[in-house]
Amino acid sequence: MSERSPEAIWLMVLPMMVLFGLVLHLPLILQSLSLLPSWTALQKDVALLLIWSSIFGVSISAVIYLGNIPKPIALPWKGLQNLLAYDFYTPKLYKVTIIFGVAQLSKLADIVDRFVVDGIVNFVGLFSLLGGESLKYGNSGQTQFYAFTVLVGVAVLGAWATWPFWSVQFINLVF
Amino acid sequence: MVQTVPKPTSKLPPSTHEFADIIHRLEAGGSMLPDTPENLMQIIGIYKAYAVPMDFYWRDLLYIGERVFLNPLPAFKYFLPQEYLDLHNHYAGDDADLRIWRGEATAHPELLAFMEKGEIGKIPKLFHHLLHDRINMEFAEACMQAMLWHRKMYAPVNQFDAYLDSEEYKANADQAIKAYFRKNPPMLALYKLFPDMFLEQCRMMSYYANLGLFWEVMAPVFFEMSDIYDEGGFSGVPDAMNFLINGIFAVAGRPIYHHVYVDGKCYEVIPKSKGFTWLYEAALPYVEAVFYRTAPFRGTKSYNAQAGQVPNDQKDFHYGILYADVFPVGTAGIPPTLLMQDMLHFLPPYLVDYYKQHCRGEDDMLIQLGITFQRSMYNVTSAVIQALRTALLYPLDDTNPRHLQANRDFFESQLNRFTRVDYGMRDAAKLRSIQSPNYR
Amino acid sequence: MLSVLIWLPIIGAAIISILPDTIIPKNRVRLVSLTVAFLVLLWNVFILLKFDITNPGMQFSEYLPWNETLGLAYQLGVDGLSILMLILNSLLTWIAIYSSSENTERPKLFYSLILLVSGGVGGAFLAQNLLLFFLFYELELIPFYLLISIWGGNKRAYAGMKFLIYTAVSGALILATFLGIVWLSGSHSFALDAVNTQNLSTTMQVVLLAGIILGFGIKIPLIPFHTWLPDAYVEASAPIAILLGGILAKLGTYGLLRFGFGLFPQAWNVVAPTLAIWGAISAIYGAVVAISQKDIKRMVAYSSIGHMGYILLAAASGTKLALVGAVAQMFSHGLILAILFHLVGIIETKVGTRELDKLNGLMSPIRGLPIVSALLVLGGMASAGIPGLTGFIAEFIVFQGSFSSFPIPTLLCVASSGLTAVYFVILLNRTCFGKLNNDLAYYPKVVWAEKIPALVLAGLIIFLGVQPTWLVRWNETTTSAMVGAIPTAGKIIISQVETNQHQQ
Repeated sequence: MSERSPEAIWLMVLPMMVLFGLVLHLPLILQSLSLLPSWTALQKDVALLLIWSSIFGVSISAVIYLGNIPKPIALPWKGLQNLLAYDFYTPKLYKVTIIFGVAQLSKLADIVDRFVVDGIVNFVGLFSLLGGESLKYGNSGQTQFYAFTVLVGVAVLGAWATWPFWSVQFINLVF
Repeated sequence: MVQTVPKPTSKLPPSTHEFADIIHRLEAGGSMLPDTPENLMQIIGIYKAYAVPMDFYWRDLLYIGERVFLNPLPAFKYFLPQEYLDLHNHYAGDDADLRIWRGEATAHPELLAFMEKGEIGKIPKLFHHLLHDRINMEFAEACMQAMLWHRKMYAPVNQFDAYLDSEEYKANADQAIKAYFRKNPPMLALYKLFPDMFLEQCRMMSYYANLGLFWEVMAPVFFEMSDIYDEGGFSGVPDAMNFLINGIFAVAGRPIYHHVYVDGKCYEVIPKSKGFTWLYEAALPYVEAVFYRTAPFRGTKSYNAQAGQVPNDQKDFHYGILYADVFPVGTAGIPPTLLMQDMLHFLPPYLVDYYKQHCRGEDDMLIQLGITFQRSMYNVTSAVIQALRTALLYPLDDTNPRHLQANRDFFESQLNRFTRVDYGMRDAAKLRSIQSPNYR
Repeated sequence: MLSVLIWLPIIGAAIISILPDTIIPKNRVRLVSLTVAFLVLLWNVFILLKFDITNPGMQFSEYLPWNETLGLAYQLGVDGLSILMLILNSLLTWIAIYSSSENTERPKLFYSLILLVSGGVGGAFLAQNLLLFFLFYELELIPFYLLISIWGGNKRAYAGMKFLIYTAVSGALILATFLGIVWLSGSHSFALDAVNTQNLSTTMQVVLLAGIILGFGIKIPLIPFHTWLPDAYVEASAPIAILLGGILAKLGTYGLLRFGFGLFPQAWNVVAPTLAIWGAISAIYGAVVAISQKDIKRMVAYSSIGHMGYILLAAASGTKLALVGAVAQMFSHGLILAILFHLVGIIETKVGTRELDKLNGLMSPIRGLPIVSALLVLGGMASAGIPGLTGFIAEFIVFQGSFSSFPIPTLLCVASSGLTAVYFVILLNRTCFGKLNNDLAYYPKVVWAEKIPALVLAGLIIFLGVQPTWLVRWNETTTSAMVGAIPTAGKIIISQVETNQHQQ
């Protein structure tokens, strides 16, 4: 530990000293500006409580800082000391609860977006490509096959176009 | 350019240290900085740029330590009187004790030119001061405060720190303080109430004088190195380092003292007869405090001391220039940036041309010269390490392997300061970075 | 008057692509296209100044019969809805050309395609004939496909093809719907003011409106038709991304407002609740997915999806204020997206990477990119809706206008606005703040020519944020007239918060 305390720079010390003086003189300032209420408005209980709490605070600090408690102060329980040292673990708490929650939700949404939504689209595209690839293997190359397909197609088309004309007899024939 | 790793010249087997090639280079008489012409040019140029403000620093430090002394509101402590500008450097000029530099003993002409004009031009001196268009003396004060705050550096050898607590010093200081405030009854009354406060201020003034006397030697050394380089007298980085080592040994015995001048009478708060030497009481503590330790700089990073982010022991501090991150915030006024701003004004032309060709040219010259400065300080540290080895251990060409092993152990222990894992020291140390020329 | 806005860029494109190298050398092409774009912008500002803000109808109309048998006529006109979009188009074209690098490969093709796109989008915004609109709408397809596929990133072929297919499907849907509208309603021409859907049955109207919504929904984009957007925006280079996000997406919302809201006032009430919820879901989805992105450009792309959701919500609400907000959000989002993509482009060029894990400390004054980072902070703030910038104005008007009709979706959108702040803070925290990596931080300098587009946009964003009159005055009368055409019987009104439009 250091034996000399490092000196603060004048930019910090000077305003602090000025304000220190101002605060100490504040009752006098208020008195001269007639801003203080009259003495009859004094509530004895509250004033006593305030004085007592100030004395209590000063004496505790005197015991700690002027007494011979070894510094830096080591609390009896390491856990408590760590709790205070790491700011009640507040950043870690936030990290584990809110940040973790939002981040996981976001990752989930991203996975859904990438694989489900985009996946469907890519699957459709893949499916079309594969379909095309496999369809091309269906060609046999023989002209009679194509002529037969054309004939069947024209026949089916003609039958469908003229359906109203021969539907009645066809159904009577079959049933 | 490719550098051949120096082969181990000694009879010892190769080192197994992490920085084995640097160990071998040190054993061969070299520096921690690789030996290339580019490195040499950079460090000599930056030594010259560092020496000009240093000329101002040592004069002003002595002025503050000797004349301003315990002035409670020293508003004009940076306004150096002509007497101190004309103060003869003991190691330059015709009447020098030991003429290190061939030039003049009074303030350097470039320094005087800058103090006249600054960056803005010819305006009254007060405006130069208020607009901060001056030499940043705050850097020198920060170095002094580092030396003051870090205690027990090189403890048994360095007696300066211990002397400041002794009764003899208290008696001397008491005399000086009473004489200084002879015509000032309120301050004398305050002195009776708080003698320790005034004593502590006096100790700070002693450190001002200590640092001023230290830099009084370094400035002509750097000027001479620049002149020798301009003539072509250095063949490499080890040559420059050897010049530094010779300089260190030549001046090692220079007395360190603190004389206070009140109304023309001299009060010897620390007399020369105490026998404090330049090497042990000024140079080694300076290197330790400013190169290795210093303190975390306010406003650039926040540390949770309770959680152990700042070392508990002063000797573990690792915030000096050897560990510094030179891509600075720039305007935070932290001490290294103040020095970099100073050096920017006095760069030799060959270095300015060099910087214009790299990185962003003129726009980031501050950072480029900051990194060069870091390299040069590694060179100075190497000189100090080699000087210590010469003083305490064995010569490099010793034939006894036990002696060579002792040398090697010494070098390794010095380099171990850069490889420690705690507090992130090994990541902060720039020893590895300066080995490459691409670190600019 | 208005034809200049279409034909000047197209003629410019023709000049650049056809004239030989001796007349326009390769290194002057950018300058020539910049001049053309600037002239178009000036003309557009001129038209803006002559625009009569009290007239709700079409102004500066032009009419040329083209192909009577098809019903195609060259009919142009501008009203409050489209005037801001035209300005956005010209401005962002100029910005995009300025933002493009000086050594783009194949500059002639690049700049002529950009100008072609600009003219085409202008035509789409101006068209008063359904088929003419469709013509200009389809005109962008191939140029953008080429722009993405040739000058894009690593996966540009995939991204370009995806964009092409999605937009082609969108165009097909829109054409089918247009044909359906004209054929079923018995109109004798495709002219916008001649089409009247009142005499169709409600079911038929809803079906046709669904076609419009789906078609334009792919363009906006709406979840789940949005998957082309992240790939297209990320793989496109910065200027193309500016055009894609700033102008092309607005074509979708413009179409929705003009042809959905404008042609189907009765059916709109039926689909409005669905649209409002859809918009809210879109906004939340975009924001939530953006949080987990590791690529900053992809993050901005998802942010774009989120912000378009607000427009849908506002359009669904159908109040005067909400519609004013919708148009304001279209313009403001265009500006903000442009500045974000431009800056992300600069960061990518200088630093060499877009990954959030690798970027750090760019705000460092000497070795970093301080001005770019500062403007990125501004852009992030504008996108998150910080008061004082134009994003806040637009979002605030949208929320206030929609709250009376659809409170729950509005609240969801407000939550999404908060989530926007989350991912932008992540972005800024990782890229701008922190410590520069000493080993890697040797970035080239940012020159003035790269900063100027961002500064212009930032100036506009701040100006419109502080003086929102200049954003909303153009479209108030037109949007009031559009809302007035909606029969109020079917609307659920909780409490109509009367407009603040006269209280600037």
